[in-house]
Formats: sequence, structure tokens, C-alpha cells
Amino acid sequence: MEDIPSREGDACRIAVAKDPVVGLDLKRLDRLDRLSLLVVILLAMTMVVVVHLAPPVKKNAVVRRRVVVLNPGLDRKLSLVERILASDNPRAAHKLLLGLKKNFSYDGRVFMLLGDYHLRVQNPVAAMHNYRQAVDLNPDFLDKNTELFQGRKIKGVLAEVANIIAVRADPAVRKELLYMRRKVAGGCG
Amino acid sequence: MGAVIGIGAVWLSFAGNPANTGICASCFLENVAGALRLHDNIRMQYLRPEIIGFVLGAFALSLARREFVSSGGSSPLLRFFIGALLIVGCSVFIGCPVKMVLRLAAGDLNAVVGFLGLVAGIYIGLAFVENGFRLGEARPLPAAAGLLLPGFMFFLLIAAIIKPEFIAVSSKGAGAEHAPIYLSLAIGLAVGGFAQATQFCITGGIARVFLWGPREVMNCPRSTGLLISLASFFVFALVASMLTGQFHLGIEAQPSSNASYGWSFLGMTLVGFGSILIRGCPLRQLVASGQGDNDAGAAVMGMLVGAATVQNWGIAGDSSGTPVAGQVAVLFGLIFLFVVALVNRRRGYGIAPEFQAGLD
Repeated sequence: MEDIPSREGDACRIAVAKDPVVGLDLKRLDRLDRLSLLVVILLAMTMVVVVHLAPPVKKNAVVRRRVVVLNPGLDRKLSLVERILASDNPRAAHKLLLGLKKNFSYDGRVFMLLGDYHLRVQNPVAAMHNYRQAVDLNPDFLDKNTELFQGRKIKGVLAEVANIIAVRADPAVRKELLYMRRKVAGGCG
Repeated sequence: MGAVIGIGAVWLSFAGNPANTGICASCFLENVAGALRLHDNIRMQYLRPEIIGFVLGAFALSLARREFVSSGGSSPLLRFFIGALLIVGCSVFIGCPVKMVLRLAAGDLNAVVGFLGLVAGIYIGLAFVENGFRLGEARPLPAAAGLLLPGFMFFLLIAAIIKPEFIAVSSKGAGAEHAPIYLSLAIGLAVGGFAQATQFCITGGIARVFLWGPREVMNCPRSTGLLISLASFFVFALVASMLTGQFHLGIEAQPSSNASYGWSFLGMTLVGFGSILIRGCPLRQLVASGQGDNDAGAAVMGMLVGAATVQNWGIAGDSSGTPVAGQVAVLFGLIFLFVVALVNRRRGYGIAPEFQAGLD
């Protein structure tokens, strides 16, 4: 092993022991070794706790991204709901949407229309909740490069919810609002 | 250097790159991995010309300055794995150290946690480096070995221009958000060239504060100026962000952020620790690989594999927070680095020769 020359007054503190130890010798641990081993044990214990507390994996969460479900029947029903909403009959639209939600819970468009319904009946918090489910199921609703883009409308709802929260603080709603605002702001993922 | 990367990065995000992501080695490598079909996230597939530019810019300038030296053999496989872990840490924080500075310059206060984590990681890494950690000295290699990474990037450049069938391109999502290809390439080349000339490195700049203390600033310009480059990068990016309307001070509604502060801290600790052990942040690895450093090339390939892995295994953080897979990956990464650092120490020794170059 070569000796590294010492440079006095240097910030690079070069210390050469008489009997250097290479690798990890459990009988001759120095302070850095002991501290490191302690940290490794703590990290390993944290990992066990994290894995233990983790919620069960939803298998469809992975499948969702990879499977495109074409359903002309659903498309027709959704455009019917849109027309009913536009004709100012939210109650009928809501009834239809609840049925669709039961059968097509994987399709973001159902939740987007549910959000539209709640917006129409002046319930922006419920609208935000449904928009959240819609964008979680299909991020295209916040993507300017797609036809589904609904960013401006969602931004408007978030502004309304922010006003409500300013008056009536609700931690769960606030948490959801912050999440949605980050989601709307975009990112690289 | 600070002006080139600071203004260049903000210009790129103004011209079409994702918000606060004018330059990000980890996000862009995830895009490149997607374009090469190493993962199947259709929103993250684009051959980012910036990455190509970093390597080719460094390659061209190192040739012009006669600094192209083909070398390697300093624990390349270990660097490969640490390179992969760097991307794991970056993906949990949602950004590499360069993007961390860009996020801070755009007013994102969430990134302060990442900065603190990076500093902590650098401190831990230096504790090992100053106490005998070594990877073995690199030795000269035939020139052809040093040309491998620049050659690969040249191939990617051709592919980015002619867009053959086997290259995937996102039509939506972050992969579809990009500045014009020639602007991205030009800024990438400039950043790569300047970074080669100045040895720019985010973790290196911060590390010098620990190594030299106030002397790093007082001795400027006789010091390397790494810290000055870093500070000027932040200032130029800050001014450019304000001028282009991209500055929004606060912690709410920030792009590429989440509220998992603890995991963001640990993610960047992983990045700081790993970067010190392999001598350089992800950007520095790309630049060094362009000037013939095969060990940095191994780290870059590891980063590319890591970029594919974080997408395939669902490790990356997003607006909702850090997934369990990301939490486990960060903890595993830190344990791995501690073990590597422990078993590669020569107790009783100081800074190994391969780490001394550039410290004076």
C-alpha cells in the first residue's frame, strides 16, 4: 500500500496510521464505523416498519395505466348525461351518473361529469373531490396536449374551494385542495 | 458558467420544457429511457437533446482544449449501481440537484428540504472520503474506450433528428412538453462545454465549503470557483425566472413538488452521499463521460438503468407524495451506500489519491 504524503496546513487532512485496516474488521471498529453501523441498523428497522405499514397494493392501479378500455355504450351514455346537464336537469343527470359510477368506476370521464354536476348545484368541494378522482384515473384532463384538457375549469373550482376554506377550515378538504393545486401546476413526471 | 446554465435552463422551460424543469438530468434520463423503450410510461418518452448536448459539448471542448483523456478502471460496476441509486434519490425528490436549484430559483420553498438533504448527504460522504474511502485509481485506457459514451450520444442525436420507428415519442404528458430540438441541443452543448471547462458540479461546490470552509470564497478566483458558479447559477436563474414570469414564491401549487418532506430529504441525502462517493452529481457524471472518463460512463449507464427502473417499479414521487416503493428504495439505497463506504475504507488513511485531484 502506498503512503499518501502529508500536506501541512491543508484542509485535506491526510492522516496515516501505523497499522491501517482495510475492509471491515469487527474487532477494530473506529468511531465512524460504529456510527455507520448504528445508522444502517436504524435504516433497516425503518424499512421494516415502512413495509409493514404499507397499504395493500391495488392490482388495478398498475393495470389501469396499461389497458385501454373501449366502450361505445359508455360513450353514448356519457354524451347523453352531458346533454341532460346542458338542458338544466341536474337531478336526472346525477341519477344516471351514480349508475355509471357503479359500473364504470375505472373511467375518469364519469367522475369528471359528476364534478360538473356538483359544480352546477353549487357544491365546489364535492366537485373538486370528483375532479380529483377523474384526474387520478386519467391525467389527460390536465394535459394541454390532449382533447380532454379541462385545466381551466378545474383551476376555477380550486379557487372557489380556496375561498370556502378561508372561511371554514377543514383539514381533509385543505389537503385535497393542496394536492389538486400541485397537480394542476404540473411537473416532469 | 452560472449564467449559461441559469439563463439557459429558465429559457428552456419558457420555450416549452415542463415548468421548473428547464434542465434536469434525472427527469431527462427517464425520458431518454422511455424513448429507448426501457420503460412503458407513455408520458415519459422523449430523446432529450439536452442530455445529448451535455456529453457532446463536453466531448468537443475537451478535444479542443486537449483535455480528452480516456481513463477508467476505478470500480466501474460499483459506480454503475451508485449511478442507478442517484436517480432513485432524484426521482423521490422529483429532480436532480440542478433542478433543485431551479426550483429554489423559481420560488419553490419545498425544495429547501431537498437542499438540506443534499448537504447532509455530502457531509456524510465527505466523512468517509476524508477517512480512507477509496474506489481505486483510474488508469489510462485506449482512446476508443473513451469514445464509447460520446459515440452513443451521437447515435442518440441522429435518432432524435430522424426519429426511427424504434424510438418512442410521447404525444402527451411531460415527455410531450419540450422546447424546440435545436434550442435544447444548443443550450445542452453550451452547458456541457462550460461545465467541462469549469468542472461545474453542484455537489462538488457544496463539498468544497466543508473541505475548505470560508477559504473557498475568500481565495476566489484562486479557488476553483465551484461555489461561486453555484451561487451565480442560482442568482441568474432567479432573475431569469422573475423576468419570464415563472417565479412563484411559496410552498403551495408548486410544479414537481409534494408534501413528503421527510422522504424528499432522504432522497436528496442519498443523492449527496452517492455523488460524493463517485465524485460528482448526475450532471457532472454526464460531462465527465464526455471527456473520456469511462468510470463516469459506467455511472451514466447506471443512471439510465436507474431511470428505467424508477418508472417500471413505481418508485418516483409525484404530487400525491412518495410511494411505498420509493420509500423502501431510498432506505435500501442509503443502507447500500453505508455498506459500500464501510467496506471500501482503509482505516487510518486520509483522502485517497483519486479523490485528491481537483481539491487544491
